[in-house]
Amino acid sequence: MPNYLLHDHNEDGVDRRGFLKCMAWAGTGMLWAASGGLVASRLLRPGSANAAEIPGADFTFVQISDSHIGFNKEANKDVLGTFKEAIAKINALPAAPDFILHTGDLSHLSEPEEFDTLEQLLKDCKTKQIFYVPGEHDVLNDNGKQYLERFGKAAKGSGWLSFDHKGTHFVGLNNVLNIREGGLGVLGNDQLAWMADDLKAVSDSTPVVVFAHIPLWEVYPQWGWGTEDGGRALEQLKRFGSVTVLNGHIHQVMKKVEGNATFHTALSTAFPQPAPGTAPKPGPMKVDAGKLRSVLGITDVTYSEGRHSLAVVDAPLA
Amino acid sequence: MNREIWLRIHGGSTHFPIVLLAVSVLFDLLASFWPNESRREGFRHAGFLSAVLGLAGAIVAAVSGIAISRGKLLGTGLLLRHHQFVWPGIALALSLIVWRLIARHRASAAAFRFYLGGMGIASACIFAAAYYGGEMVLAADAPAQDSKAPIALDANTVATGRHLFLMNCAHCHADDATGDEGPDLHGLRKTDARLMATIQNGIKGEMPRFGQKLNDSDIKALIAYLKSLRA
Repeated sequence: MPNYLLHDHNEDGVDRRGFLKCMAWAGTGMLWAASGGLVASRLLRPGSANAAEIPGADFTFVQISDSHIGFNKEANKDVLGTFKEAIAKINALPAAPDFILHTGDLSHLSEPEEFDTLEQLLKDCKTKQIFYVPGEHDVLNDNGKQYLERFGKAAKGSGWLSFDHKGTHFVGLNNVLNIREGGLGVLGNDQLAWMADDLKAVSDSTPVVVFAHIPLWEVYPQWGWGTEDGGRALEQLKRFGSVTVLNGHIHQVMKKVEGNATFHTALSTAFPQPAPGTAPKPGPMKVDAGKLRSVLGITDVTYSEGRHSLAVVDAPLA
Repeated sequence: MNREIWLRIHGGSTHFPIVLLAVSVLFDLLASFWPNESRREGFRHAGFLSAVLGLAGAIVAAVSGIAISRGKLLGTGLLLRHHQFVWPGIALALSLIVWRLIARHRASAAAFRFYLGGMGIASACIFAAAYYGGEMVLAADAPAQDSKAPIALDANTVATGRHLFLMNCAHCHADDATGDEGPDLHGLRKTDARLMATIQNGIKGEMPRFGQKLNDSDIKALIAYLKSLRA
């Protein structure tokens, strides 16, 4: 398949074929770099020794997602192995990221031993500062009580958090409790009120990064890939000049730019899922064993205050 | 064949190797030390026959076990522990019985002692496998609260159950309960008590425990919905 644009109707650097190729990826982690109002990302591919060397970057951080520790089905019988590889990739970055965001589904069945295993594996990660938001697989059996005790001690409510880092404001949201019939995520009035209050003190010119498990935007509501009241959260972000929304859940890269906001969903470290509408229903997707790792690659997502469009260059490695 | 039938076959056949392999070792030990030659011969025959019957039961148990676990030869958790003893035990017993069938009376006393030691190990493996099998049964049959109370199948309860299903179960069993990562739930023939225990306690490595999240009334509604799928 050629790696050039055939049709670029929206002049956004993405054609339909390229978009589908992008979604077919499976990978390990996402490196983000922030420099002023610009946020860029690239996938951590094997041998990409300069993955962290984004010119002019003020700081970098890594997003990992959907580790599903405990998953043991055909789509990937060695989720521990692929998670270790993700950690090794992070450790191999020449410039250590300032911190890691884990955007949920740490575990597969919310079992204590699964959380134990994740914590043990992360001890091998040189970057010790990790911020978490829960996925629905982390709150299956106790509405997130155990998750909060282990990973959400500094969080508020059901696992909401915010922090500032080198001039960028980060907001972590929990949209996996009270999931609607059909699977749509829900933030809820309390969390939205907290978010509004949290953002009051943040100036319009401050870059804002929002992260949550289920996409805040409507990726594919037929499969529950969206958040019912995500629009209310995005409304609160409209006044900011630079907004980046990072999600997981769908186990594939999808990107969108809308006004001031750039949306991005991350790959899983455990297994891929089908592209929207390409299968009868979502779920773990088996690919050739060789392909699981060979579909790693690089993608650059660039957002600038001056150019409110998303430039995406994606190419499968194999 | 229905999984419930395989469960019953497994439950019945599995006791043959547990008892008969141990009995076989006992008979063969008696055959080694009994002073009367004709009795010794009788014990030897009894030992061999017990071993063959035990092995036959083990093979039936293995086939039914594979059917129950849907082809999993190892699995996870208690199932893995069970299999870690089952397969070496059966393989060892099978090898030794085939050797005995071929060697018959030609085997030396030393070789027969080696055989006896091997059968002792095989029998111990089967006992260990039985222990973990029992643990699985206990986990599945853990007493459920009010499990004997009748579960209503009225439209409201079923509707509540469907809502709970979509909120908690559809992620793995699909919106229409036809299965995805989890199995198809149409046509379940488990008892209410068993369904309740499974939902409350989960299945190790396969299904979450919902006992802390859903109350007794919620689970009954879920069961009512699952039963409505039988029609």
